[in-house]
Amino acid sequence: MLPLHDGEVRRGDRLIQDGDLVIVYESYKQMKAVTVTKNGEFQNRYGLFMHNDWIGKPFGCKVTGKKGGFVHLLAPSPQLWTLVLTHRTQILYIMDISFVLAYLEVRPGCVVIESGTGSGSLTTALARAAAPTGHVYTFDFHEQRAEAARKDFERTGLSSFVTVSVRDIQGEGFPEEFASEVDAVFLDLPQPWLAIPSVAKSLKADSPVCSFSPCMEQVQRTCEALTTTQFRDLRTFEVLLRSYEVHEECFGTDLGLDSSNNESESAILSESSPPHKRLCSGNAEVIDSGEDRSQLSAKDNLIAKGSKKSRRRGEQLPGYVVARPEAEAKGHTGYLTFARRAV
Amino acid sequence: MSMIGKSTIQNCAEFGSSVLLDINDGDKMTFARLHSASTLKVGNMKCNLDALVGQPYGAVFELQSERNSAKLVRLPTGSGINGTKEKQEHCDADQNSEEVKGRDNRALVDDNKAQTLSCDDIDRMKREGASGREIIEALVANSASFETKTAFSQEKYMKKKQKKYAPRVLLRRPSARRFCRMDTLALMMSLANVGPKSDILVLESLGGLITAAAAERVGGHGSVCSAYYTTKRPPIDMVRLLNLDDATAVSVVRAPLEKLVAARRLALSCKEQAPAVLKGSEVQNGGEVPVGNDQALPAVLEGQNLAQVQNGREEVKVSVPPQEEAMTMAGESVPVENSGSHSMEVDQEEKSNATAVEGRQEDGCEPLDKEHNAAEGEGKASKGPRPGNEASSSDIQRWASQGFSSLLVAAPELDPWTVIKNILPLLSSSSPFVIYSMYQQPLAECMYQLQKNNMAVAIQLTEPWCREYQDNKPSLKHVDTLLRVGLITSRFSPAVEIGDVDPLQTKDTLPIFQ
Repeated sequence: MLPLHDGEVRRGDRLIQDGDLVIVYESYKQMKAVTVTKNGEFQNRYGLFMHNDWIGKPFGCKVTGKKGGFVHLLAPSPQLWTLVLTHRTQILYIMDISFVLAYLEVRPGCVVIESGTGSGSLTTALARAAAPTGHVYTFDFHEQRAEAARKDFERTGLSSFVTVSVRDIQGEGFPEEFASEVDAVFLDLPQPWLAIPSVAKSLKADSPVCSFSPCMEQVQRTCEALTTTQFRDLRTFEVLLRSYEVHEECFGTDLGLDSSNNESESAILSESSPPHKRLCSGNAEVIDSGEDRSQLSAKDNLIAKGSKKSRRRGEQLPGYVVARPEAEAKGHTGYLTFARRAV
Repeated sequence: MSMIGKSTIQNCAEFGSSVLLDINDGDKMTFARLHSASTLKVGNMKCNLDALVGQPYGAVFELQSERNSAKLVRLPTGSGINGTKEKQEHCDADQNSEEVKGRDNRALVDDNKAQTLSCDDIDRMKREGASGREIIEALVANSASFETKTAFSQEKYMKKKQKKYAPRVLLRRPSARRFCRMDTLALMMSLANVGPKSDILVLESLGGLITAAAAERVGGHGSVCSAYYTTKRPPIDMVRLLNLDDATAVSVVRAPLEKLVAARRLALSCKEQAPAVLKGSEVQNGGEVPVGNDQALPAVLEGQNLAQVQNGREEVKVSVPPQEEAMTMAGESVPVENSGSHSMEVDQEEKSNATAVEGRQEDGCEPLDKEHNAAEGEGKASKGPRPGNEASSSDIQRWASQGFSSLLVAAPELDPWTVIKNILPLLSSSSPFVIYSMYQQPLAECMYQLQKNNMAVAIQLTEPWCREYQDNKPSLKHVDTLLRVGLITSRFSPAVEIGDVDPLQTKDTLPIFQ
């Protein structure tokens, strides 16, 4: 994912090479992870793309397919990986991931343990944050999923920083050798309260644990298990992300009222009307409301557009940019319960 | 299976380091520095912080008065910060007994007569050297109403007295997670892919909040450049609160925006003219500048009006400081300083003035008292390099030739579109950027422009929400209806934008990648 090996320095101008992972971007909802290979091919609705055309280009470039359509080739990051990875289980998304990473104070050098691995969405972010001097030990009781996760970490170049093991944490707890060695624990289990005693043993003093549960009943039982003298700072949160879509919108002013009335009205109102209205009356003058925004040049473009529209019957305000919440808001994922190992 | 590597995270408060003091279970949180002269004042009690040196994070101390002063005493492991043990001693053991259950406050008359000990009595006890605990016990013993209270109420009473007469102090590690709006901060860090092996560019006016959070994530394995566009550098004091180790401290640097942009323009134009330049560079040594760039040079140094501060405020120019070296690398060169340039006003080292980010005292939002409150008579600051030195020429060259890997913008006084338009070229191709604003409209307009001009892909306008649940007692659950973040608190509708740099044509005359 990044040159994280010791001694390797980041090269911002690095070009795409044979064997690299790229994120093929068509749109925000259409992205795919592709490993570039010599003579490889990629096909989508825009046609056929030859990998050889990609090799030697910079990340972020635009490439065209045989049919003429284009895509962008982006460099992988944990955030993009979350959006393109194969879902073997329900995964965590950026809002929960970012909150967990920050609250658990994961940074280079940390030793983090996690169960279950699931599809590796959070694990990828944890590994990227703890590298190059830290390590993530992740456990899942499902052998095939553990293997699939291992393959993913190979693909994203993080396998030096993640160790995937098959183990039933609810039944057996974390391995003994982790006792008092761990900087942060993350649990995403159906019955996390069963793992709490082992968590208490594994955590270094004053280090945090986080448990993610979709149901409040699970949260309650986990909190009960955490209400001992071994833990403090018990807190539960819910985090959500709301997206807005942005576009240009025009608003009409023609109410079909008597035109002569309109004139006298606008004569009276012209002093106090907002900048938009002044423009609308045919003046292409600079907005002198005291603003010095560079949007001005943009507005000029929009005015031109707007005046075309207002050649239709009645006036229309030139378009301006509006934002509104996206129709489909992301729903509840789960509750995040945190606690800290007491000293 | 075996553990591969041990953790390198250190867990003790060293002498000279910065710590976070949690007083009375979150009632007050304050940063402090552990010097020999550092003191802490809680209520009427004042003590020095000696007792904290060398202690592990998470240790709990009690402020115990003795004669005319007070001292911090470490409490044994297992003591709750709010006196769980004492609580259990005094409160009725069997909270479910019929007698206890039947209690209520119908007979309670609040006439201030229940407590028979007077202020003078208490003062006398203090002078005679009574400990906080003894005073509390005396208060309980002399309270006519204590026995009649419900268990709940008794607990509350004990807690209150505890906080006053034997305050508890919890020693915490200072980390960016303690800063205000950590959920928004967290989202920014993830969206911008801030982590090791990165070169992060930060443009902020929040006292170093963003720079500090980024520095923690990068952990010394890369660089964090906090750019500024005014002649006087804005403070980034918050970075110094984090106890960064030497490697990390050194990785946090500052640079004038003008210089970064100029260097980048030059580097990009060199790349474009690469074939021509290479021929010229064969004969050069030291300070000679190849032909192609002479023309570029004056154009680049003039008209550096990047700080298009809006609303008629004065345009601020930043002069380019003299370059010490003139390095030549294959295909690139550094402009040798124009003799006409002015020397930069070197800013005096900032005073240790921790700015208050938020006035509120809620959990998760720690007010930053001026360091002097908690740590009076601060002597020599902690040893080791300080974060926030000016970036070296080699740093600037490296960033100019390769680009930054992420951009974080949190400068609410600036127009987002102006910022992005000018700064985006500083990023390497396919790098994420995040702009924070508490206002939605400027971000919406910026997003619109970016889309229209095809300057980035995967652009989004998002707003993080965070809600806490009060779940200390499983049997009593309150849903905290206070939405920390979001449209309800009108002060804050944070909106965050992400994007990936797309090296398509821009309206500027910068060369493009293809």
